[in-house]
Amino acid sequence: MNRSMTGQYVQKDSVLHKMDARAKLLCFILLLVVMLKAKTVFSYGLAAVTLVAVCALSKLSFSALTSTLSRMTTFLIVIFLMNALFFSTQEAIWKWGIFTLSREGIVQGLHVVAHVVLVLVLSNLLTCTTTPIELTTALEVLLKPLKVFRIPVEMIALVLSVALSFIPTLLQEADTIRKAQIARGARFESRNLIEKARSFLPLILPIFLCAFRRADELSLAMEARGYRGAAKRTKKAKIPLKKSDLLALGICSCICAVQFFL
Amino acid sequence: MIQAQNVGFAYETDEGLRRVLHEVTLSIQSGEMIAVLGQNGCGKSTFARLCNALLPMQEGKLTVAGFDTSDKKMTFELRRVCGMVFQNPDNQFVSSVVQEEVAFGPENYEVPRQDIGAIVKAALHQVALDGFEHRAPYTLSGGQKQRLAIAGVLALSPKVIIFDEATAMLDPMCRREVLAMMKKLQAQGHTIVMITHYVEEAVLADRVALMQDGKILAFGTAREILCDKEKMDAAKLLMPHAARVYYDLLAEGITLPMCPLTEEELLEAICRFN
Repeated sequence: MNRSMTGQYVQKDSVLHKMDARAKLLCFILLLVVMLKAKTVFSYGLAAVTLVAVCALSKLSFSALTSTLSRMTTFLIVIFLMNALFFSTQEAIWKWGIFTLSREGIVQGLHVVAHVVLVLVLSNLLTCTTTPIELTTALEVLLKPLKVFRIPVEMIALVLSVALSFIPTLLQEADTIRKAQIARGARFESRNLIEKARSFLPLILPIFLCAFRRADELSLAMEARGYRGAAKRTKKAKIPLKKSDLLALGICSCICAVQFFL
Repeated sequence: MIQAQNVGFAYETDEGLRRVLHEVTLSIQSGEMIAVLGQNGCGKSTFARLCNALLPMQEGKLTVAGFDTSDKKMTFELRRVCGMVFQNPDNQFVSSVVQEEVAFGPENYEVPRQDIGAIVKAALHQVALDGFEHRAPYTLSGGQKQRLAIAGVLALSPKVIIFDEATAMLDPMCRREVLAMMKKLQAQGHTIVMITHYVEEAVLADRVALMQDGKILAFGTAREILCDKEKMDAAKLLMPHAARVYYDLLAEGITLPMCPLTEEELLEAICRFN
């Protein structure tokens, strides 16, 4: 629990760190399309080259960018096997009961794994180069059009901001509860997945209770400081996008367009 | 600054109404530092929440800085002049960046965006957190966190600041930091109401309201209240250590010139004793 969280903001002096969060979020969406649209060797090449270039621009270490992957190895193997063994086809290489291994299945599995890996690294890039508050502010701006449908955009942004600020506190609380339970004989270190899952059950209730108690106290503290709803507050300053942000958006749009032709 | 007349309050529970405040009457002057002292569950925090209109008035009359707390139309304005700092700093933070956290209050009062920067800077300077603007609140120490919570309140320039057991979760060092901050704020003209069950903290107050079972047992200067063995016993609280030594010496036939509240006063009284 004490180690830094995966995808947490890493302070660096890079082009990506300096970029406006709104532009960064839009570029992220465009590049997400580039990653997910990859099907052929060329399109994968384009996706990979783009990702490597953006990673280089971020000045982040290799471990910061790939830390999620190492923690999700089991998940990646499972999704590969699910696709490889359950892909329905006539030409099976190997068959046993409900399992059918085929060339198409393996290709499909590799596609899915490659897409997940590309998306995970891209997401890491976004969260490691943007502070949570920048992200929520950008989200609030980008979701503004939804106000037409009476969606409380400011409220959603505030909820996200509060949730983000509560994560470290709740992690600390969870760690305290875990240690208290270990001191009373609880075992969390079992390698058996079912046993491990079962051992975490006694943690869930106290964590939930603690979260509700904190939420109650926070609502009082917010009210005491004059909070009346997100709509009746000083509006965020309107900062225009810089030329460099617009340029980045243009480049990402071009890459996205090219990907559709590959 | 705060006038309470026969204030009463009861919570609804599964077993019926649970009365926590009975005819509380007290008057707090502008610029005073008052300690509301009592055991846990004696109604101190309920009184504090009534002052900030976080709870609706049920009985009696309570005015804070001229605002009637039962007037719902004025609640918003009342909360601007009467700030409140809670026990657990972690549960008071809305933002994950210090400057955004301090700006939360002014933003709620629709203070023009161009003025907020200066307000945040001044509030952080007041609590000696200059340079912490871009830090995440969870990376601060306990005392720093509570000072940040105070800065969040100061950003609204309140006349009254209520500290609801604001030192209860802090270690002795951080507690000293926050208490020093309270004294500093009083010197700057703020009226301070300190809700506490620590007798040693109440020593710092100009006057002490001693509470027991939702009633004010006594209200007077810190020395009058904290050195009154009968009243302190009735409130089921221990007197400050120095006062206890005074009574122990008295039992042995040694009468010091005055009942001391602090170790320093005790030392001085012993040195002067002939």
